[in-house]
Amino acid sequence: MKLSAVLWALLTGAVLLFLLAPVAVLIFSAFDDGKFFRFPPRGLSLRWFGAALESPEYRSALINSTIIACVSTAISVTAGLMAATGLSRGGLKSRALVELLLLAPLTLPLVVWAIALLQIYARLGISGTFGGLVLAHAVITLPLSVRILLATLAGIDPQMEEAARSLGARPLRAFLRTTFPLALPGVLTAAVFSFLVSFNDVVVTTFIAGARWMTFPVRMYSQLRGQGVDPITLAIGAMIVALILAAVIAGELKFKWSRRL
Amino acid sequence: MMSPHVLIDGIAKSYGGAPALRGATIEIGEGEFAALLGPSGCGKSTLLRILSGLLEPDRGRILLGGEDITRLPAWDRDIGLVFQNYALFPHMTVAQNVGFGLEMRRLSRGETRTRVVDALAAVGLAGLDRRRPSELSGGQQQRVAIARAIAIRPRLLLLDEPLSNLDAVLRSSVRSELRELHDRTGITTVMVTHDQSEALSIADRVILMKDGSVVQAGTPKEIYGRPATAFAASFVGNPPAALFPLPSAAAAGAAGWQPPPLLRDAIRRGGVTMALRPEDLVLGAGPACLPAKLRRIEFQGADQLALAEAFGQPLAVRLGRGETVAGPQIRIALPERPLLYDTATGDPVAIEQLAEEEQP
Amino acid sequence: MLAAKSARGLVAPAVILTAGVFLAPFLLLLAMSLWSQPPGSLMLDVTPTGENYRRITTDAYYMGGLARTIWLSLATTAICAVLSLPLAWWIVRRAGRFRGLILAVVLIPMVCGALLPTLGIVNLIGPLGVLNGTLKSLGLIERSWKLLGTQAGILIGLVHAFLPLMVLPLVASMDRLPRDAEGAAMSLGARRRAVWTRIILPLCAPGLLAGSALVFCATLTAFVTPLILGQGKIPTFATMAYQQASLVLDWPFASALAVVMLAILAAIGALGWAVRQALPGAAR
Ligand SMILES: Nc1ncnc2c1ncn2[C@@H]1O[C@H](COP(=O)(O)OP(=O)(O)O)[C@@H](O)[C@H]1O
Ligand SMILES: [Mg+2]
Repeated sequence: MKLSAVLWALLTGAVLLFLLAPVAVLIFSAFDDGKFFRFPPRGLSLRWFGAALESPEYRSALINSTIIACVSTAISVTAGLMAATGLSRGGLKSRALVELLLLAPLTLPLVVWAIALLQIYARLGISGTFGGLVLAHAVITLPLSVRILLATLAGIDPQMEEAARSLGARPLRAFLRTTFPLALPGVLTAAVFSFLVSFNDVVVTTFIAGARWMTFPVRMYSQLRGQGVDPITLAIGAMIVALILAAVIAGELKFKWSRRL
Repeated sequence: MMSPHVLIDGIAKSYGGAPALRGATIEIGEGEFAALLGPSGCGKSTLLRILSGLLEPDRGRILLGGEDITRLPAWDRDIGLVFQNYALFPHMTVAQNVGFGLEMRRLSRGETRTRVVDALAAVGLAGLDRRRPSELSGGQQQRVAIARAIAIRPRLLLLDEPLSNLDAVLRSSVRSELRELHDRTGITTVMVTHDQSEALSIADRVILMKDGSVVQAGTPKEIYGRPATAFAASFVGNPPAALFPLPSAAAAGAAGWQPPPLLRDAIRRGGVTMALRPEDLVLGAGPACLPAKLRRIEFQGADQLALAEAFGQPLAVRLGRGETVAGPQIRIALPERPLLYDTATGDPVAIEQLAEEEQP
Repeated sequence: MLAAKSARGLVAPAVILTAGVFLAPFLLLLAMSLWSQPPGSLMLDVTPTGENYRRITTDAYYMGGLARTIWLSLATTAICAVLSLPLAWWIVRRAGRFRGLILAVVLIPMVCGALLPTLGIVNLIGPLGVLNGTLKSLGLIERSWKLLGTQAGILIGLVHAFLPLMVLPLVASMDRLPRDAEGAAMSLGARRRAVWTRIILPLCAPGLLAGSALVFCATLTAFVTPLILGQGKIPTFATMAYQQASLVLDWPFASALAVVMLAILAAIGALGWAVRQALPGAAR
């Protein structure tokens, strides 16, 4: 191999290491026995994982996050699939404009929006409510679903549904029997990414979460700003990250997720 | 023809203001094999989609077996449609693909099974029912698409460019298989094609279209022998007829050409174009033959094609296999009654009419 | 094809949700930034006033924060571009069957959210963290290298968080490069450097531009990473807005700060669009 090729490989390797390092350190540091992580660690143990599983505040925050993420994902994927179908199969004249509108939340700054939303929610009295959180999460995950599903449907021959109709299937049935099963990997991808975005969101949620519906990232964020890193947070974070990592590697290998984004 | 099986009555359709069909009227008899022929973009697929119910016409009616089906949705029409790219369901096996229409009709499992097997046997694919479409060759995929369409025992079978995605070798064998399938099943069939030789060789009746209108409908012999317009003449034939605008009398004289009386009348009228089929032309000698310059000879296996130019216009002459030509100046003997059209409108110019016009 | 009516019906819920819940607040924000909140009170005075904007433009604290934020955003964008080009190239041309796995690694900062990787970075670059611990035990440094609470630390976090926004568009545009373009250039006598400057970079320019715009905008409005890695010592424009909205509870002023960010982003967007038009192949 030529020197330049070796250098090239080293450089890319270093960048990949940089991408991987924070997550790896997070997982590793959760095994540190001490109350404050230090490297090299004085001892390794699983005790913080045990403590994490027993902590009631964290458990309720995790449950809240999961519920909110599930509901907003359902809304996001349903509305997203409907919109993507209408856009890709409808021949609408305003298609470009509607797409621009639906994808806008991906490019417009969420903090700016959240600062506005905070004030509107306060006025409507839905700040910190389940409905308010789900609505906000549905809105920030919807553009991801739309984008993923538009790309998915673009790869599925629209004539398939027409063939089904000419064979006697009504429109809904034709969709459910032909396009939908073929779009399933895309639907799954949209659902996973919506879930992750909702579950992990702190940027928007920190403005509108309340004591009743506290999500895990918001709790962790206020903890980090206040008391600094706490080992139980590390343990839960490590578990979540490990789960996400496994899901993303599986998803990338099986469904080519990076191409659908 | 008695009351036709299919009547397409004044169908018009435009896409956002751009007309794709301008009031096409077509009749197709029961059990007929009809070919919709025309250059690409002339509205053939649009017409097929309207027939199948996937597209609504702006104007006009569709009658099938005397019943007006214009507003009937696609799923209630019992019309089999074979898409140009087949549109097989990739997540279903061959048997599930073929059985789909029967499932929609809630046929019993046993009945479905028999019909699927029959349909696959009819297209020569017996035994492949467990495969997925991706495990089949292009030709096999097409057969599955046809089997899927005929399994529902359609009242009408529509084929959109069925041969265009096949390689040249397959094309001719599938062509005759399609015809045999039609003869065996007796299903009224409409095939769309832009390839005139395909249409002429396979169909009972050819419907020639251009720019969203029907130019001519008739048997292949009629279409070839009596083209209704200059376009029809120049679209049909292999190679098609050359359109040759007659030169002025002065130009003819200067080139040493003494046209036969009929053409002399035509030249006098002015604005007349001859449609010259290569196989109607032979080499000749003498002032009555068209003087031309030989450009090149194409060897075509069974015969040869002499490409020539007369009065600045290209034309071709079909030669026998062994025939030799002494070029570059040649003379071409014209047929006794050449096809004559008005240069401006493309309408035929009747020979008798020319003689009459001469009288006064 | 669907009938236009059913297509509109299908699109309607998403459009209503996005236009009503996402877009409308931006308009309200403009109005709210002109309101005021008398000191010591939580009551709002809705008579329009430019006071909030005057305060931002005249107070050195905010203008300094703005300058620091823009500098951090430019630096992050530049570093991301430099790191992404070789990586994207390697993914497209060399990774082969590892491509999927490597792309999954690239996706990590995106799918883990803003917080979890930041937590890892704290333990990576902190005074007792992995980096300092390793350097110390190797005897390379005596006292910890101070990264946490500095701009360098924030920069590390921002680059990590937003690197995928640069890599993915670059990979997409390099995927579209004709495979034989380099070979053709080399056969015409181009050396490696010329292949890059004359063929690859121009063809990737749209991807690079898109990635740069995304990274710049994301950095400009990021507040979680700067707040945690800066340990509250390095205010950026977004952290100021966050603090005004969430802690000080001066919402009109927070709105004005948000509108300023929005205006900067709009300017960047317009600039990016203009550059895109000027690039070769803009018609596509
Ligand atoms: N969905 C569509 N939207 C707009 N124009 C179309 C559409 N489908 C076909 N056309 C136009 O209508 C004309 C006829 O098309 P088509 O029926 O597909 O022709 P053919 O099958 O004979 O090639 C063409 O000019 C084509 O561009
Ligand atoms: Mg067509």
